[in-house]
Amino acid sequence: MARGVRVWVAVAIAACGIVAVAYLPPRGGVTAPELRFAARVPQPTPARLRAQDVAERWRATQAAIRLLESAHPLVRPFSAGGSNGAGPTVIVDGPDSTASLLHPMLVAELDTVWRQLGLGETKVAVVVVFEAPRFMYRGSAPPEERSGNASYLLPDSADRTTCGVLIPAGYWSINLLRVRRVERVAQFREWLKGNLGPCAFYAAYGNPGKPVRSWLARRNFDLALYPVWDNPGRHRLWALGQDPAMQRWWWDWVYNQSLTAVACLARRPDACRTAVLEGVEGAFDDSGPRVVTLGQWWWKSQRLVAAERYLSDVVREVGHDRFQRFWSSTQPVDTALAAMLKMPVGEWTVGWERRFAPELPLGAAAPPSASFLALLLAAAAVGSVALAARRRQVR
Amino acid sequence: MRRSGTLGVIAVLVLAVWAPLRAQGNRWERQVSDQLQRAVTALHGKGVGRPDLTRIAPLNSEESESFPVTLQAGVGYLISGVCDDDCTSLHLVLANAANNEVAVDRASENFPVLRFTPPETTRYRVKVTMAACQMNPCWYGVAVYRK
Repeated sequence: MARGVRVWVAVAIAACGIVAVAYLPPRGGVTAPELRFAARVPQPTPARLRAQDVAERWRATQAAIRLLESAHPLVRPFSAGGSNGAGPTVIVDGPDSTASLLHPMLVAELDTVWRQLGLGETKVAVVVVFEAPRFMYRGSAPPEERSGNASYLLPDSADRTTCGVLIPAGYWSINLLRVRRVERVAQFREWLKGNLGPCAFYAAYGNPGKPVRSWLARRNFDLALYPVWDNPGRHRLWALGQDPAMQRWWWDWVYNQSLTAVACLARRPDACRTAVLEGVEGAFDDSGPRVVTLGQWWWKSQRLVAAERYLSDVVREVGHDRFQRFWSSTQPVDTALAAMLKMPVGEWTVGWERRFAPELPLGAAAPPSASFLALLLAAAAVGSVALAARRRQVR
Repeated sequence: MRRSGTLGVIAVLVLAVWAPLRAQGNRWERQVSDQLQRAVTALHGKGVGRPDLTRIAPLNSEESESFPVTLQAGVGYLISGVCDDDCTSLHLVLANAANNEVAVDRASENFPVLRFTPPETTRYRVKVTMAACQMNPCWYGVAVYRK
């Protein structure tokens, strides 16, 4: 082999090596997940997943029983403190000593939250059951300490006028018992408001019409979990990481979302429409679950990113009356929703996501460093060829 | 004996506390109750007696419910319905045991009235349909009078 050819082969192999070093392991715009939120744990085994699922169901059933027992109209007047009918009924489920301490504080704070939401006397009464902290074990049953997510008992044809909220014991109730007063009041009220969930919508707008009820029931009321229509502040998508200016995504979280949710983050109106309207198909019957429970990691995989505040933001945008007409409508959901928003659902949702999340880059996209390297290599190759061609020119 | 006495006392206490709570109701239930009361007063002036039966309950839009009523042969009956301020259309239907509609009012918006004289003494069913309600549930009230 001629010396010149050997040099070219060596140059080509070296170039391949440089490219391999630059590109392997695969990057494609995805950086290794940074564990900002939790320690890395090994993947659970199928047996463990099954056990977790059974425990989750068991807790959901317990919550349903508690709600049915406590929120029943016959039980309510005896277990609750005096309510003037213009606020939620508060029940503290625990020993009398605990209940007598927690009840007045909770009633006062919930009344404030109720007023903040613009609520007074409502057609659908809300019963809030607080579980006081208990420290006991019941044989081999899973402990009743839950994830801190509230459960909801929604009105149905057997009781059209009661919505129950079960708030499990957690940080706030333990702290109330410890310091015997409310600390960080604004934060506590936001927490209370968030826990009212779909019951706040029922209180404010009554029972939804059949199409809306069936649609929301099929998606576990994910669009109506966070009643913050009184709060004009912009929110930030926490999955963007510590510094929103850097707009670095938490890719583990992104890859856990549904395809439509991710495509909607990429500003695709059709995907946004699909994400919002998922669950509209099917009969408008009363067969949906009456009890809504949230899994421990419900936020990790959503049909629509930030879905929990979607309808709250809609209320703030369109106002009470237009939302009321949508909520009570007997028209198909897509028609009623577009009529309320006065534009196609997908387009409105794209605009809504723009307020709190930057556009997610999708598809093949070379990182700038890789592009620069490729251009450099190409320039070097072209330069070398040009140089070689000039030297071999016959005069 | 002692146990049954205790249960009796508890039952009386429960009823004593529960009955006024039920009677008070909420704003919309009171609206319907007042409307029914006004209808009774107005009809009383026209020679119609006190209602044989009244019923107040909530219904969501497009939902309906029925309740039985025994009507005497040859007696003229008037069945009136009222509903709260959020209700814009209430329908009333009277059906016989064979489920045939013998009197219907689906056109009177939120104040339907049925007039019927039964040919025989038997059980009928009054079916109430909340045809349109702006904020669910809407309370309705139905009263059955003898003319």
